[in-house]
Parts: sequence; C-alpha cells; structure tokens
Amino acid sequence: MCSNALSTGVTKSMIKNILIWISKRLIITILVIWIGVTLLFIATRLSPMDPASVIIGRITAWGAGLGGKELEKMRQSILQLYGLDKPVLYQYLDFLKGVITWNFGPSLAFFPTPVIDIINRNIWWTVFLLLTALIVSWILGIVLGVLASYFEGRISKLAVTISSALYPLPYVIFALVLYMIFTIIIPIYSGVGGAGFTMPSLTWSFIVAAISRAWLPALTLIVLWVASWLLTTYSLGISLKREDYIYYANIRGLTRRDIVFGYIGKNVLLPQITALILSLGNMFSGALATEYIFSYPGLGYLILLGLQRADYSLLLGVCTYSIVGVAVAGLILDIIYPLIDPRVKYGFTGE
Amino acid sequence: MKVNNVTGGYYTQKGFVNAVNNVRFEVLQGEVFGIAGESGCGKTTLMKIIYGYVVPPLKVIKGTVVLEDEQIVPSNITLLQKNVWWRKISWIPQAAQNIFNPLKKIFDHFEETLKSHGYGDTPKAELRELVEKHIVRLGLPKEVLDSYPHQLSGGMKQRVAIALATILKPRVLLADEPTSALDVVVQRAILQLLKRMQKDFGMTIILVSHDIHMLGVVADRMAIMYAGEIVEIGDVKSIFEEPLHPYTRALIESVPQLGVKKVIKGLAGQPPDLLSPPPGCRFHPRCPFAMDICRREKPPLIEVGKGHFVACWLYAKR
Amino acid sequence: MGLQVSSMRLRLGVNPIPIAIVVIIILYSFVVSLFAPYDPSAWNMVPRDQPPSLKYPFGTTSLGQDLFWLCSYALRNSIIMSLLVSSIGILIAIIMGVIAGYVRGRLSSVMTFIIDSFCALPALPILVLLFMMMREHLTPITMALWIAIFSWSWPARNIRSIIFSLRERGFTYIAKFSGYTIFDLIRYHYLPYIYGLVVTNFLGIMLWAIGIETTLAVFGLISLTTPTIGLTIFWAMNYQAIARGIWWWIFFPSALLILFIASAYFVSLDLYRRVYLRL
Repeated sequence: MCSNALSTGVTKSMIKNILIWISKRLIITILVIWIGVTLLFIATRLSPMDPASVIIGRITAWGAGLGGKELEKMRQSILQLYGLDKPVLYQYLDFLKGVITWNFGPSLAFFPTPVIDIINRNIWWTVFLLLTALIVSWILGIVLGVLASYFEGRISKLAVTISSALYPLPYVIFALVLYMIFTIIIPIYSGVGGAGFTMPSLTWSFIVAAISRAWLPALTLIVLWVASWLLTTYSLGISLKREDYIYYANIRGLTRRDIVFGYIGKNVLLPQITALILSLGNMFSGALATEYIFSYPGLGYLILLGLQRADYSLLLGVCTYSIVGVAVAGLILDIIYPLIDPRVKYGFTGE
Repeated sequence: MKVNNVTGGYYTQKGFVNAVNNVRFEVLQGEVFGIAGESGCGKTTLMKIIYGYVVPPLKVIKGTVVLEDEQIVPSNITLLQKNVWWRKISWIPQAAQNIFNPLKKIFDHFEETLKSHGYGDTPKAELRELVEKHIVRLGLPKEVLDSYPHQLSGGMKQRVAIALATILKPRVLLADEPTSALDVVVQRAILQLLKRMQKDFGMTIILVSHDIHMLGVVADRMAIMYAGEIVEIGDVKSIFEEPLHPYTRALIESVPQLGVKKVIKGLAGQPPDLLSPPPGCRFHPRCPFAMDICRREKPPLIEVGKGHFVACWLYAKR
Repeated sequence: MGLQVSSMRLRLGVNPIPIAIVVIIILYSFVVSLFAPYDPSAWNMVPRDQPPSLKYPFGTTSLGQDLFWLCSYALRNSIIMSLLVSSIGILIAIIMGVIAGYVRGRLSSVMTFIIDSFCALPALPILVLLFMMMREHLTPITMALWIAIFSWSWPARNIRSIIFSLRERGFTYIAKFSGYTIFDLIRYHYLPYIYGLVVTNFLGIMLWAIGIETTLAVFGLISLTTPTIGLTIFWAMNYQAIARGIWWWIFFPSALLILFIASAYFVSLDLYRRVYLRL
C-alpha cells in the first residue's frame, strides 16, 4: 500500500529532495548578497559632494602626513575605486566586479595596504568570539528553556522574567554596564586598549592573552543571547507540551528524562535551528557593537578605526564581509537542516 | 474489572464539571465491552479514570476502579506507571494522527516503551526481533518500523497504535474511538484487528465510541452513557432487540439502515452542561416520556432482564 | 504590597509595575524637560565633573552640563526618534506583510523573498556606512527614514504569516463566495487580528529603534546638535569618563535607558498576551 514511501534508505527521491533544497537556498543566498551589496553601493553615492575631495579633506585634517605625490596617487585610486569618471551604471558594474573578485582596493587610512589584508588579519578574532559565544549561548539557552518549559515552577518563571528584561537591551549599553561592573566594582577585566593587530598563533601566551581580552565581550554576548534563546525555547516548549504525542508519551509511562530530551528537546531543536539561521544578521550586528565598546581587535575595532580615520574603503570592506559572512553562514546551516529533519529528507507523503 | 460508583470531574475556574457521576459496571474477562454515547458525555474522562490517568485538573471524588486484584483508582501514578500501565492495561488513543513523535521512527517508539517497562537491559537486536514478530503477526508490513510518522496514512497509524498498545500483551485494552475519522474499509480492518486481539491473546477490550452500531458489530456487552451517567447496560443482542432506555432507542434509530425506508427522527435539544446538570434524571429535558418524578429524583440502575440493567423511571418502581 | 500587585495583576490581566515605570519615565522625559532652567545641551552651564548631590541629582558632565536635565531632554529625543522610525516602519511592514500574505503565486514568492532578504541582512554595518556617508546632511527625519528601512522586515514577516493563515481559514472562502470584496474582507474579518499584531510590533520596532539609534550615536554618527542618550554616552566615552572616575556620566543615562526599555518590553508582552489570549 505505501511500501515505496516507507523505505528510508538512500533513495533517488531523497537525493532529489535534498538537491532541490540546496540549490534553492544557494540562489537565494546569492540574491540576498546582491541586494545587500546594492544597498551599499547606494550608500556610497549618497554624499553629494565629490567623495574624493571629501575623503582627502578628512584624511589630511587628521594629520596623515602625506606628500603631494602620495596624495595624488590616493586621489587616483579613490577615483578609480568609485569610478567617478564614468556614468553611474558603469560605476555600479565596477563595484559589483570588485565584490565578485573580492577586491576592495587600498585602505585610505593605511594606504596602500589593501583593505582585504587588514580585514583578514582581524577577522579571526571576530570569528573566534562569535563562534564561542554563539555555541555556548545557543546550547545553554535551549537547555534552560526546555527545562523551564517542562517544570514551569517559580525558578522557571524567574528565569523567564530576567531573560525578558535582558533581551531587548542594546548591546552597547549592556556592554558598558558590564564593563563598569568589572573594571570599577569588581576590577578583574583589563584587556582594553592597544594590541590591535597581533596575528593569532597557537602559542600559550597568545591564548592566555586572547582569553583575558575576550572573556568580557564574550560574557556580554552570551548573557544577552542566552536570554533570547531561553525565551523562545520556553514559549516553544510550552506550546509543545499541549501536543498529543506528549500526552501519549505520558500515558505510555515514559520517564521524565525520556520526555524532556526525546520529545520536547528534539522537537524544539529544529525550529530553533531555523530561528538561528534567521537571527544571524542580528547576532552579527550585536557582536560588532560589543567589539566596538571593548575595542576588541575584530571587525568591530576596524569599524572604530574606519570611523575615526574616515577610511571609507575599509568600512565598505567590513560591510561587504559582514553581508557575505552572514549570508554564507546561513547557507551552511540551511544545508545542514534537511539532513536533520526527517520530514524534509523523506518528503511528505502521508495520506 | 470492576468500576465501583466512580464520581469524578474537572475543577475549572467556573466550578466543578461533573463529567462522571456514580458510574458502576463490571467488565468480564475476555469480552469486548462497549461504551456508547455522544461526544461530551464523559466517555474519555471515564476512560482516563479506568486507566488511572488521574492528573489535575481531573479529580476522582468518590469510588474505586479495581482490575483483578489490582487497585487502579485511587492509586499512586508513579506506581501505576511502573507496574500496571502497558503491562496489565493499555490504551489506544483517539485519532492517532498526532500521537507519534514526528522526529522518531516507529521502531524507536516501541523501543522506548519497552525500555520503560522492564526491557532496559535487552540488546537492541533482540528487541527488534520481538517487535517485528509482533508487527507481522498483526498483519502489518515490516517496513513500517523504519518509517517516520508522517510517511504513514491515518489507517496505518491507527494500526501501529494498536500494535504499540499490545506489545506487552496486556490483559485489558482501552480503545477510545478507534475508528472515527477513518474510511469504512479501514474501519473494518481495525475492528477485525481488535477482534483478533480478543481471540488470539484473550484480551479484554473496552471500546468507547459514539457509533452504537459499530459497537453492535464488535462488542459482546455494552453500556450506554449519557451526560456522565450510565443509563443502560446489557449484552449487545438484548440492547438492540429490546432497547429499554429512551436514549438508547434514539441512538439506535438515529442511523439510517440498509433497506429501511423510514424518516429518521433525531433527538431534540442538546446534552446538558456538566457544570450544572439538570436535577433528577439528567435525560429528562430531552426525554419524550419524561414524568414528574424524572425531574425530581435520579432513577436507580436496576436489573430488568438477565444481565440487562437500566436506569429509568419507566421501569423502576418507587 | 506584593499581594496588592498580584491581585491587581489578576484583575486587570496586566502587571502594573512596568506600566508605572514607563509612565514615570515618559513624564520625566517629556514634562520635566520643559522646566529646565537652562538649555540642557549647551556646554559650560554648570561646574564640571560634579558627582551626584542634592544640587545636581545626577551629577554634571565634563562639558559642564547638568546630567539631570540633560538626561530628560536626551531621553525625550531618543523616544521621539524611535516613534518616528516605528511609524514609518510599521506602515511599510503592514503593506509588505499584507500583500505578501494575501496574494498567491509569483507575486507572493517575490514579496516573501524580499521580506526574508531584509531580515537576513546585518543592519548595523550597513547603517554605519550609510550614516557615515551622509554625516553632514542628517536631520532627525532622514535618520529616522534610513533606520526605518531596516526596521520593517521582522514585523512584515509576522504579519505575512498571520494573514496567510487567515486567508486559508474557512471564513475567507465563505466570505468570498458570498460576494465580499477584498476590502470588506480585510476590514471586517482580518483587521481585528491585525490591530493587536500592529500594536505589539509597533512597540517592538520602537524598542529596536532606540537600540540602533543609541548604538549609532555611541559610534558618533548622528547629528551632534540633538542630544540623545546615545550621544551623551558618546561624549562620555570620548572624554574617558570611566577612566577618570566620572562614572555617573555613563551610569545615569544607561540606567534610565535600561529601565525604560525593559519596562516597555514587559508592557508589550502583557499586551501581546491579552491580545492573543482573547483570540
């Protein structure tokens, strides 16, 4: 009767399902990056004054002691970068070409170092911070959320209340508060300032330095993200508890442990992976803001530098990295998803 | 199994909903016992009580439920969970559409149930063999075990639910509307399966449904329930040949039958609100034969024929 | 006191404490600021770097500003800015969400894709670049406009999914077969659901917008003439307030903002519960 649909080995239809899913997501990712990049292009054209002069004016105001020849070279590269001598459409295409070839030209504050080199040096700090904070907070938040939704006692309600208070706060404010707490009240954090461009290496001293630098920004992110995951998991778990299969599991005499992990936990995980994919943009922005406050040597610090020294190219590069990074991370998670959700893997045949 | 004067219901914000009122009957070993009644008459609550799944807001105020020598109500749920549930008495829920964990294979459901009931140390291969044998014996294809719930049709899921409920060969099987929302062909298959349980494994089956004619086909004895109370009990033949209670009569006549060309009369009115049920006999507002005493006093359950009980002032003498 | 609060909570269905806090802060920022004896944002009005005292309840800044009056004024501007963003954003969200949820086929897929794309983009870096480019020409209105462009995506998503599920429900088909036009349908059947959704999302955008505006201000990207909480903190950081021990310059603006945002969020949660429980 339904024996074909019942087989769960690697069937042709299963591979087809997955390939269709992946290719759809790939196209969407590329389109999203394109939209984001186009927005950036629009942004760069928003200053009605000649950007080259503005830029040079700002840089010389900062006292970057460059001679006439170097200023002229910079002027030329800016003109080329923005293609200001050509009509807008060509500028746009050049811009797109730059993105596709992953070339953002030289940095203005650190002329002639290419923007990419500067970013690539610092990006690992951001990746390290993001990955650690994300993994810890996602797992912790979900576990706490599942427990809170299952037990629904006073501690659960307290946890939910605290999370609700933390969840909407801006990262910069919370970071400042933690900074004040841990430098004034309990002075144990000191990693701010200096040491921007050390190359990551696997030496013990580096690791210690990295951790002493990173733990407070990481704590900021972890606390705020745990609050968010706890809240969403909690409401998910509460609504899940009303499902028939939970009721049936109770009747069958399954232990509490079985139900919390196998039933509530498992069914909460999949929507939370989807939620994770969708929140990547927000989380990334939050990480940048936090890095800025702590002068943590990642992309956030580059934003600080770029703003201080009017380095538009650097900022453009950081923005593009952000858009592409978030989109690609989403794509990777999107590809893993069907491998975990049996309803996608095995198609929906039912009745 | 004996259900002795059980009264129970739900505590809600508005008050106490008396879903089961002074219910008393006996189920004999090895028979199929049907409980018929409209939706909302308290059948599912009664089932929960018989099973022993009495969790707030459900509360049993009075009465006991005894299975052989084991007391089910009142009892400690953890004890029931360990010793009684699934081993001595099992439950097939209504509408098996959503009772399986969508992220677990069917076999996993069997495995975890077995592990919770004493098979914790058995190696997986042995469990697998056991389950396969059982499934095949019930006429289900082996491949079902490796499927996910969403890959199965409604009828198949119901049959798997029956297999799951009988894996430990319990003495009693509770089936709550096992055939509603299924087409007639599948209904027949399910009923045949249940009958096989009775014959091959000697199980006692308590079947709850609003479809009195379906019960007429499979059951040996049955009880009619209205508004939380039992109004008639008897063996199926007597009840259909000689329905005593007006409600029973209305239920039987409400379904069109092959070859009978007759205008069907439904029953006027609605089942009462169990929050404040009518005094006296709960059926009197809708009963065509209501007398004065029906409004004032509850009729007792008396034996009229051999093993045929009815609670109606038409038969009880003051 | 706890008993009174919880009984009030049961009776009204809402928790009065966050509402009280929100009201007090709004009074503080809108009404109190009108009584400022001096222009709160002007420099050198009062002696610098004074710790909190009876004369200067929140202390003074290194720029010679009275923090008590300054915060009231700054908070007012922050709130107004977020209201602006929210108004524009919710309008866009409703339009996008309703269309995406109601129409079928190609148009629906395209709209959904646009909404999801904006959800996927990291708002902060793009806004940083935008604001930096437009630095000289930013007015509060244009700032609000640009921030609003990134604010509508999540609410649009919510609205879209609700409209979509409403559209699939029985009464839509019945209404259509009875000859209702689309506008009647929207007005009589959908709007009741949407009202609650709109209010909650409006508040949601507001809180997010305050956060973004504060962040951009701390980066020094907003107009330096209109004081907001974020800008106050920007100046404080520029003047090394923490290192120099002038903790109140950061503490009071932050504390006020945190109180406002957290309380407003609790209020929106209560509202959400009331709206959806009724449904």
